[in-house]
Amino acid sequence: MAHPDVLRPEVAARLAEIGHADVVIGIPSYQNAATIGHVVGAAQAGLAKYYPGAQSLVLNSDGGSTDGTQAVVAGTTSPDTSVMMVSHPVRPIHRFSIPYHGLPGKGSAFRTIFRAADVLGAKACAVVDADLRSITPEWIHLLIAPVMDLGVDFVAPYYLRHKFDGTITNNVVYPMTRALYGKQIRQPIGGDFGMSLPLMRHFLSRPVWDTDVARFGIDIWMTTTAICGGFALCQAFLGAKLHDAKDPGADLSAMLVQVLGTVFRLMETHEDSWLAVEGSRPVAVLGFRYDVGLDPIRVNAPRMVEHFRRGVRDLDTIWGTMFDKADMARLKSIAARGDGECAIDDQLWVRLVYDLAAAYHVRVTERDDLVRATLPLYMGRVASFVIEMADADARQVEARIERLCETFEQEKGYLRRRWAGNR
Amino acid sequence: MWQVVQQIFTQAWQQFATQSVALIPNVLASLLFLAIGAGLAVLAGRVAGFLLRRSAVERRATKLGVSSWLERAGILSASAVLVRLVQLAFAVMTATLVLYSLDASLASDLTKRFFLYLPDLAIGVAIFFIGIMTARVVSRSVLIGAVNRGLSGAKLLGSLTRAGIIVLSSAVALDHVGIGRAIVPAALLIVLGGVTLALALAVGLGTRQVVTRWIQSQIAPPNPAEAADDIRHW
Repeated sequence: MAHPDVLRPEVAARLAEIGHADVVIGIPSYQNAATIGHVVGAAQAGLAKYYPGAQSLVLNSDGGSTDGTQAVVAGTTSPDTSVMMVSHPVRPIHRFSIPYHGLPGKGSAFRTIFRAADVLGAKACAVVDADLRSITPEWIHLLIAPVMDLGVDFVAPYYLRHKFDGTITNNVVYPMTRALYGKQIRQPIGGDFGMSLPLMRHFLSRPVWDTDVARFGIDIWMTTTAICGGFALCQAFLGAKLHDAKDPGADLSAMLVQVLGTVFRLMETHEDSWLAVEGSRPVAVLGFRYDVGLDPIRVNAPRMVEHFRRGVRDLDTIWGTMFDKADMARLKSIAARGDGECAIDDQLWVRLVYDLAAAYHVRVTERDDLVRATLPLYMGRVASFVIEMADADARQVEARIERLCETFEQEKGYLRRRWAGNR
Repeated sequence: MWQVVQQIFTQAWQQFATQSVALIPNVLASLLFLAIGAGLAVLAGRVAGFLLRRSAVERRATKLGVSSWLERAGILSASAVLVRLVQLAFAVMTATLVLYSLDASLASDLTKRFFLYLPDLAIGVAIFFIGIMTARVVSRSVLIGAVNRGLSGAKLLGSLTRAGIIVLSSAVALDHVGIGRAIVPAALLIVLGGVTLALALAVGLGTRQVVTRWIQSQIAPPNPAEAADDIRHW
């Protein structure tokens, strides 16, 4: 059932006029004039091609763009598909702390989209990012078909990415989500998802929408909630994911606080679930898999190594309150190696991540500072990965990440002890 | 003459002996108060420690970050601090009773002055501790931010931030409790004024070129060879 406080009266009235939709494609946006036309066009083409007989709606929820995003959306017309534009509330203060995904109020956007889909009684809903350059009409089919035809509740994306893209996903979020909750979802913070009506109603019933989790970590929250809620899962192979160019001035420490902070807070919410889980199981990947060439990306490993060394030199007192003395000694010996060298091995990295999770759990007033203080460690780990995988191909990199995931799973007993306050 | 001296000596000694004998009950009473007070303080400390161990004080102190700060100050636990405070309260009560038993009027006067002074003392101590906590939080943020921004001398920046806040809050606390009212603010003004003058001279005259180059290096666009990479981390 719709809650009037989420949907504005004019939106509720418009939805009442529409009455019903079988499929809803939600596109949250903020300052995406350059790309949203392509995304809306792909969504419309996908619905026309794969669901010609279904009543469908493309719903754009905008956070107050000033670059003409909504004008672009309004200009995309199709005789087969309705396009509806709404705006989601974004408090002025939230525009000052832009989340890592670049969309302030993304949680509000999703809530608006899910409510609208609930009002319309949609069987399936897919949400896609507004800054995608590689979206095709097939993405709509891949995200919706498992829900409509196979009874799946949650469709996570499976992308082909450059081996050095998504480093926080590859080095922390994916292996940790897998070790904690026992499901091998490769892209837990992908951004493009499909879901069923029961799952959307479950999301709407959670008391999360006014919290930082909704503001900064709605993607990982949806993935974790779907897993812990026992919903049917699958992954859809979408091919390459190409975004609009990233903001070079983006603050990495803020990204780390937002992503890891959400992961750790979800550990507290779902403590009973993850403590009992051992090992992990694969989640089916649907769609035809293929290889695709990806543009090379520049990586400045020496700069990352230098950042890591600065952290070891200047943040040792803070790190010493979280990490074992033996691990601190190992970090110092790694930092002392010759120019350009950095090798943080899997076991050390896993112990550091688990120690950080335990410290975050225990020290409520210093949480964000603790995570910010580990940015040099993260840069050291990324540098280690880049140096080790410099000549590796995609398959070798994937095999390497698989070994890291196994280490996360093997060290879970250590996490349990640290979480309970023991060593 | 010797007889007069002998007489004065005898009288003085008799007076001393009489007054000392008169004071003996007071001294005995004060020793008794001291013994009882010490015993009660130890007992109260044990009871407080037992109750605190059974409560969630340590866990809450760890969550609030107080425990790590106390550890660095050489104090083992928040419970230990609270036990010491309980014992200190008993010690103060015992000292007051001892004073009363020795000289009621002096004790009364001292007690009155102490209680009149207590609010100022409490506020001064509170200002000092708030300054310490603020210094810790701010200096930690400055240190982490400086390291992540690649600034050299991050530890020095953090230490200077902490020292500056502690000095300022100490000066305010001392001024509030009335210690060195004329000297402390003047000393602080002299130090701050001196630092400001030194910086002004450095910027204006002696190190103009160095500062100009430093400012330019902070605001100039990065060397393309050292530019950030294209990695999308999430």
